[in-house]
Amino acid sequence: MPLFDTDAIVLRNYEFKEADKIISLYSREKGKIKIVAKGVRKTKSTLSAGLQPFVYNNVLVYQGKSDLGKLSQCDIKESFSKIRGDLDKMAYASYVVEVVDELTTDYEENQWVFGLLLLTLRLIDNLDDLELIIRAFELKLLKLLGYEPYLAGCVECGNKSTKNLRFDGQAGGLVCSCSANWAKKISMGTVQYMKKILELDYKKLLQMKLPEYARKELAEIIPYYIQSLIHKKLKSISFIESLKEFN
Amino acid sequence: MRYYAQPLSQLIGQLSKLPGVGPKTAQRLAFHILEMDQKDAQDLANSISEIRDKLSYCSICNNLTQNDPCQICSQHKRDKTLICIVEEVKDVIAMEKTGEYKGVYHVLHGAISPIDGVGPEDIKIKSLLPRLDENTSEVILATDPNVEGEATAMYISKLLKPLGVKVTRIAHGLPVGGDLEYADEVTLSKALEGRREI
Repeated sequence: MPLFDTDAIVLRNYEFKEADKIISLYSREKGKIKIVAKGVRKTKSTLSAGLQPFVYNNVLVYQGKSDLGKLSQCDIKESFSKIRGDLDKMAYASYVVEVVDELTTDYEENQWVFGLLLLTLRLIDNLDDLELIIRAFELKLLKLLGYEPYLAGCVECGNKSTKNLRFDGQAGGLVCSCSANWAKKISMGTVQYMKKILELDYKKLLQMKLPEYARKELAEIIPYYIQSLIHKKLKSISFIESLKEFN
Repeated sequence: MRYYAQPLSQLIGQLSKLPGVGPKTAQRLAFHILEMDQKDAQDLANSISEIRDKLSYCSICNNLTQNDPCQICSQHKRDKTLICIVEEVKDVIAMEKTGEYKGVYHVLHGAISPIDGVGPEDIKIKSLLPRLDENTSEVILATDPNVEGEATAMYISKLLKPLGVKVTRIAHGLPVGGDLEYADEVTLSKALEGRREI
């Protein structure tokens, strides 16, 4: 099938040759794909607006013999203009697309991940509690991809004690004092909130009041867990940190 | 490249490091240089060796220049109270071509990109602040109209707000000579948003 069309969200783009770009997309039908968009860096290109990060498009791609398809047409479905007009929203949306880009592999279809990504961008666009949206996105995505953190007891020994709990990114869950590995401290309250976020649907989840201590702990623990999964630092985190100076 | 004489293969190797130049183009360029006049070839070699020694960055606006301060910053008729912020040196040239702008520039040498890990400290924003004083009438943000350019513009406007300086953003809209029916909805809505009375 040399020509196919699919709904897709732009994750990021790289400059390529004189006026082209390579676009990384997360598509509904084919998972993460990379395509070449010819001539889109020229001012008169009508495709360039649809190829900005976060934009939700319907794309028509010509897939020849190479892995890299060629963009033929793109039709913008949602451009998320509020994300692009607000620095905090843009920083968090950048984090979302970076996490999806890092945790998924090319051509691995997962409609649930696509749905979660689209929903998260819509929520960032329209709501203000960005941190809750991000924490929900991270935990739900980890669950969808099979990396759900183990919260029922200690990963190492199975102990269900609630004392001296820590979160070990390498082990993928809670550990008690039996583990000698370095791990981040976590309170029982935060563990309960993590379980709630994983279980609840979005309607109930968005009404949840996440206390300050849990926000602080989760903002450290979940990105740390994701980074230990991908074995590298997430670049957008430092930008989010630098924005906190203003607020 | 054992088919070539050593100086020729060395030249081909160096030329193919240039952007957009593959081995075939490098080979064609190398043979062309070989057939050039002695003087032209010497001039080319001199220009390449001089470019790094003779050029530096302007201490005021970070533009590329032979003398410090640069030609634009040292012109008396330029309005020093008007500062236009651009991403690259190439953008200064593009703005100058319009012939409309009479103020000075500030070149950032990049744009903030959260996804690529380029933060505010990685581009030349810090050197902008000492340039602003009570005489500054306006700061124009002329960064690219893409996500990175918008992020940079928003960051700078947030940074300058407490200083009470007037900060403006260049207009976004339809290219001259373009067709309205082919315009995408994002550009068209930006054009509509920035409409003005005539």
